[in-house]
Amino acid sequence: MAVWAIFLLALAMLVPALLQWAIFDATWSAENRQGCDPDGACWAFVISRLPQFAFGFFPSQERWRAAVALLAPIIALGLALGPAFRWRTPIVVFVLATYPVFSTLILHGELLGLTLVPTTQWGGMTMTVYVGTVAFVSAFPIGFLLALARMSRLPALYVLATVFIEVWRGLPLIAVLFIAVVMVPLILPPGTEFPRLALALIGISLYTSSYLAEVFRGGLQSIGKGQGEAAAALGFTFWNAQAYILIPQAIRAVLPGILNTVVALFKDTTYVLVVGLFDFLNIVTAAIADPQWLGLATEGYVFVGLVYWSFCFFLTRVGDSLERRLGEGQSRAAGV
Amino acid sequence: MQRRRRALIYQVLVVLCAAFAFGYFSLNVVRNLEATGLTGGFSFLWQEAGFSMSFSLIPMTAEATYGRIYIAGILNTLFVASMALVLATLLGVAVGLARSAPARPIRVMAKVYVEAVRNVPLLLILIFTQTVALRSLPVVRDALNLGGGFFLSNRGIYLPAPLAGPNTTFAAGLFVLGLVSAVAAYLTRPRVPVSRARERAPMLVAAMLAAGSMLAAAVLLEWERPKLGGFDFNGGIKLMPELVALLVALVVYNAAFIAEIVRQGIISVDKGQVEAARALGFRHGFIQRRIVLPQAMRLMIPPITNQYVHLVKASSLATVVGFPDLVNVFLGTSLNQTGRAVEIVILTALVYLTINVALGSASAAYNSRKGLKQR
Repeated sequence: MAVWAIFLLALAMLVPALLQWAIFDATWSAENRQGCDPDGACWAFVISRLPQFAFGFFPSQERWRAAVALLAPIIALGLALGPAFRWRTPIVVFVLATYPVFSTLILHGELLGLTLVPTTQWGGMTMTVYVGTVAFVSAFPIGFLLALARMSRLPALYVLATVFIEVWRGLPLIAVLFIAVVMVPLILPPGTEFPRLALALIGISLYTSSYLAEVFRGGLQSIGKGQGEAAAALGFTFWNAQAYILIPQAIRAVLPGILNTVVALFKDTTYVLVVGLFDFLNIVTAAIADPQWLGLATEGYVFVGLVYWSFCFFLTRVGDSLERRLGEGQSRAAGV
Repeated sequence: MQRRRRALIYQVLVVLCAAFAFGYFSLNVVRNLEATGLTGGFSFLWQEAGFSMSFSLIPMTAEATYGRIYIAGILNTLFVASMALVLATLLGVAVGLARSAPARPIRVMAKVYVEAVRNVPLLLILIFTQTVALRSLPVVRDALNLGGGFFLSNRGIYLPAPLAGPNTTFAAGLFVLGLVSAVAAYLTRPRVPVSRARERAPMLVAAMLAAGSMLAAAVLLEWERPKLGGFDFNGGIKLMPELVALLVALVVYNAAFIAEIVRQGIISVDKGQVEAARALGFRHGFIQRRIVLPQAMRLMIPPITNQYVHLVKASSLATVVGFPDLVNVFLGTSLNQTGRAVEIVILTALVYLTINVALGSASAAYNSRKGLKQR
């Protein structure tokens, strides 16, 4: 009873104050800081900077290109999680598989005959989604091959894959980013130059691939050994057995793990700030320093937090329900 | 036969490819280094670094060598990580237990905490703690006085420091006695789930002795309390805001994950165990402590170890707030100054890989000792 009383009392004190600050006393449109009610939140700051938070320093007449790169993976994800229709899987796979190439072409623009926008002007949510998706898509096949190699009975493959995975998984992502920025130019022929974004992408992809490899390995190991042996007995080659028998079963088992990795990757893309890229979090940090809107760090970070939170919470929920659904299927199969 | 030959060919091919890539990369490294006029080797570790660290567990001056910077960086990383690890575990276990508490408001609050923290980037929590939460603390002059010589301000946390004095040796002796009797209390704990007062007596005596001698040691020692003078506190120990922000963020974030692991461990314990204990008339706290947790522990250890590895790695976010950890001073500043990329990357990677292997084998050792015996 006492616990209830304290709890309700705290709620009664906190919630109205919070609502007062966030909604009732808040200012939604103003020219600058002075135009905001000092008692409430100054959302006018966030609203006036929204295009920059979304597209970074992309030139305003070219923003549609950033919007394509920003929305394509989100729409693909929506389709993948939404209701099924006939061509769903091929469409989603195609959009995601070609994303690194087409989004880079369309953002950069030179090869397509559009105005060139250098990578230093990319930023905001576009940068976050671009980095996350490109790293995920390139890490996917590498991670899969690594998982196969680590499960292989051939000692050379096993040792190489194990060392590779453990080294990249064992290093902090911050260190991986530093290492990528310093080492990649060093191991390439003298005179090769890469923008920092590309170097960061190489680092994040290798890091993610080693995490995905462990997720895939877990999934592949969860399939009974008999499946592979039966396929071999029926005369399937190694790759055919993988493609038609093992992977389709493993995919179901690894989906929750993959979603977890996506959530972790989405949160980890914020680390690119250490190599000087302006992702969603960093561009808000930069905007807070604007003399016109000084002292609005709370509003800025609350906004960033809400955006990350809604996306990650949604994906975690999807992962949980998938896990439950797959678990049910499994136990039903066992009961038959 | 054919199969074996094919396996051999595959392996030779893969090894050749790897060796070729490695050779090609090394060749480029050599050519790139030649172009900049640098030679390889670890001799730079004995060179003077020319910069100092704002926080160090070993004496540090601007004349320190890169080798000393490396050691100090490792110690700082271990210091932050182990502090955060202990605090995150305490908070995480508390929140995890709160999620299965009998009172519903406690369960709700614990759940809100876990869900709010888990789905937000750690870096955001860190930057928010540093730029919003800590800055909103009072300035030094109006520092919050927590009593007993503890102060809280936007420049950091101030603690009293022990002073060397006539009683130091005696106090140190008492402190050791306290430690010994704490160990004795642990060793003499009753091994049966339900104990009578007589069986608990040795443990109680030892525990009281431990607490008493620790307290006496603390009273006997002279403490230097931080005093406000000029623009900052003088004397005592000052925890700089970078360190405080990093610790707070690491603890808050990782505790949420540990709480989730603890909860899953608890629900994995057969319900019948709890029902039987309740039927025997045990209280909730006793059931959790003596019946549920020991069984849940087996399942919790491997994922918690993973979380510890994650925490140690995440402590490198120190770079962002400006706390001098290994990555910041060695992979960052030292590499920028010397250009010894290959050597510094190898030395840094070795540290993290060693920590991971150590945590991993500790977990494996626990598992082989306490884990479920597979029949």
